[in-house]
Amino acid sequence: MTIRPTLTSRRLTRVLSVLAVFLLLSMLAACAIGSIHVDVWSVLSGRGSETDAMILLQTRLPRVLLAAIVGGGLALAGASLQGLLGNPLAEPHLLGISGGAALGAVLGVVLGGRGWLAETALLPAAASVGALLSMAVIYRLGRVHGRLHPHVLLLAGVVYNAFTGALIMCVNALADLLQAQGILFWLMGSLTARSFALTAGIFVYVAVAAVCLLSQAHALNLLALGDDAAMALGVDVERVRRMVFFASSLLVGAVVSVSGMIGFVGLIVPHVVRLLFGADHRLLLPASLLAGASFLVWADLIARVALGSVELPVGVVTALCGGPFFVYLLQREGRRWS
Amino acid sequence: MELKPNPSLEARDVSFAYGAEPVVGGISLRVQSGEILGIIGPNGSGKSTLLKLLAGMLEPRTGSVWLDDQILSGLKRVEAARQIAVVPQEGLVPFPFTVAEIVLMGRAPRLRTFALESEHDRAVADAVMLRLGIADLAGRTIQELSGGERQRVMFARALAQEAPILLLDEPAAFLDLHHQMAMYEILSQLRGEGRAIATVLHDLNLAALYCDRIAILKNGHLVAVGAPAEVVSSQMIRQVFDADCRVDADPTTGVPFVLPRRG
Repeated sequence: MTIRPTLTSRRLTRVLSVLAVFLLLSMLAACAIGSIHVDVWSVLSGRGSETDAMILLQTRLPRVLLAAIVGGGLALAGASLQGLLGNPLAEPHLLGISGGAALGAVLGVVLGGRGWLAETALLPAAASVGALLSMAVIYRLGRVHGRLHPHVLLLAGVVYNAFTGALIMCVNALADLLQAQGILFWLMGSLTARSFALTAGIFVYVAVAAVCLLSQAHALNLLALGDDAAMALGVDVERVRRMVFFASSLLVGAVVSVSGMIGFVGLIVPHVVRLLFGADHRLLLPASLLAGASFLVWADLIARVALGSVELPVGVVTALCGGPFFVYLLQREGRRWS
Repeated sequence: MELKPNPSLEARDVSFAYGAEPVVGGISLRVQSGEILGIIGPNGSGKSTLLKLLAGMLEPRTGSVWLDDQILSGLKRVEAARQIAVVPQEGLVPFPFTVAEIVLMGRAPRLRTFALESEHDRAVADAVMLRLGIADLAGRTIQELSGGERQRVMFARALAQEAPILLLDEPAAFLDLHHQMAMYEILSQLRGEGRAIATVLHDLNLAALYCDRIAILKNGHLVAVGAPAEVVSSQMIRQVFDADCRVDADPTTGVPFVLPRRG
């Protein structure tokens, strides 16, 4: 038996503050730990060595910030899509939405190159269009007799993923060697040091999309009762659907354009948050954002230090956690659907 | 709670079709303050569609639905939701919301974006749960409940909406006899408080017992509407349901009751 109080502003503030503090500590830890230990406190208080300052400001901090933005974005997108589709197994990567975004980004690279403008404007836009397109396709395919069928939806995602993967390989084969190397980066998912400017640019996209999604949190609660009940409670169902589709496409597009395909964050994080704090999207969405940020900061830290001198792609770490987790969820949810 | 005095909802010659398939054809029907209107008819006769038209969830192809003196389709969804509460047929809730959370969702039409429920909203939800005898379920998740319990939760959610008009689609389908009668008793009380209630139901005996008027649908058309004693008859049942029944009147109350017979 579950006993959980309903959401009050006190509970909301308390949970989000704890998660925010945890995120901050995680980021500090991730800045300090690595092949070379950096004394973050000394650098911040202006007493650190020059090498430490350089590593912190030019390598660690941009990377840790990017991990937090990407992780928060993916977890928020996952939680929102789950709410919209009424499917706890929905996830940008599994549904092929990240794949569509990656395809968009890859085409953007081939056609537009990788200058600063391309990276902050063209690539996120191309990736967002790719994400939106894939979302439209799988949404269409996942409907059986006018209702979203959870299994068909996931299958459509699997197929779409394979298809976009093939198209990316195709572009890869046609591209010249230099571009091909860049393209592989999208398939593996990576957070290797980027400029502050790019990170800031991506942050703006994520922030705008996040505000749009958070504004729909209560509508997503009502949608869980079914379209009819939601409508009867005053929800403009089509408007909410459009808003969440567009905002999560923008979010996934921006994030994928800068970090490639990092899977399972949007599955693991919202699920654990739901177990801990309940299903109310007004808490679930912001909590997933903060927890997802922490999660990817730690995943990236593991990717950097786990094998000593060799660095793992961060997508490998999240997939190694996420695969078994998905199997566990599939068994649990599958029982409910049968 | 303050109800708008004498709420009424009226369909004027409404028709609806899914694609080319006509489902409701030219129905005029009014439900007003202080009455329970039962909507009965065979499967596929258009009962649920009619209810959705009355709720403004579907746009009529022809004709219009009037909420008091306003055309329903001219209102914003959230404005309509403050006046009309709906208990749709049950769907599964995909996430582990608690009963209290779901009942509180009934307050949604009165909430602003980013706002949380007030103390007053909580008090209303608590009172409704107490009234329906589900207060002890408040902290349980909806997924842990039986079909009958879930149905009472959805009813509670609609009551928490505090709308003067209440539309229900087979609200008692999964309930045992005791809980079915308990639910209709509560509907009777709500009628006494001045609400206008329309409900789709299958049980002709309960319809005769609790409804003030019964509307009978067949193939999307209104066959008859009137007091139970006027419309419930063995001829009507044979004509509309293609079933053989004897209809008698309860000797003490005069309410008609239906006894199925084998042919």
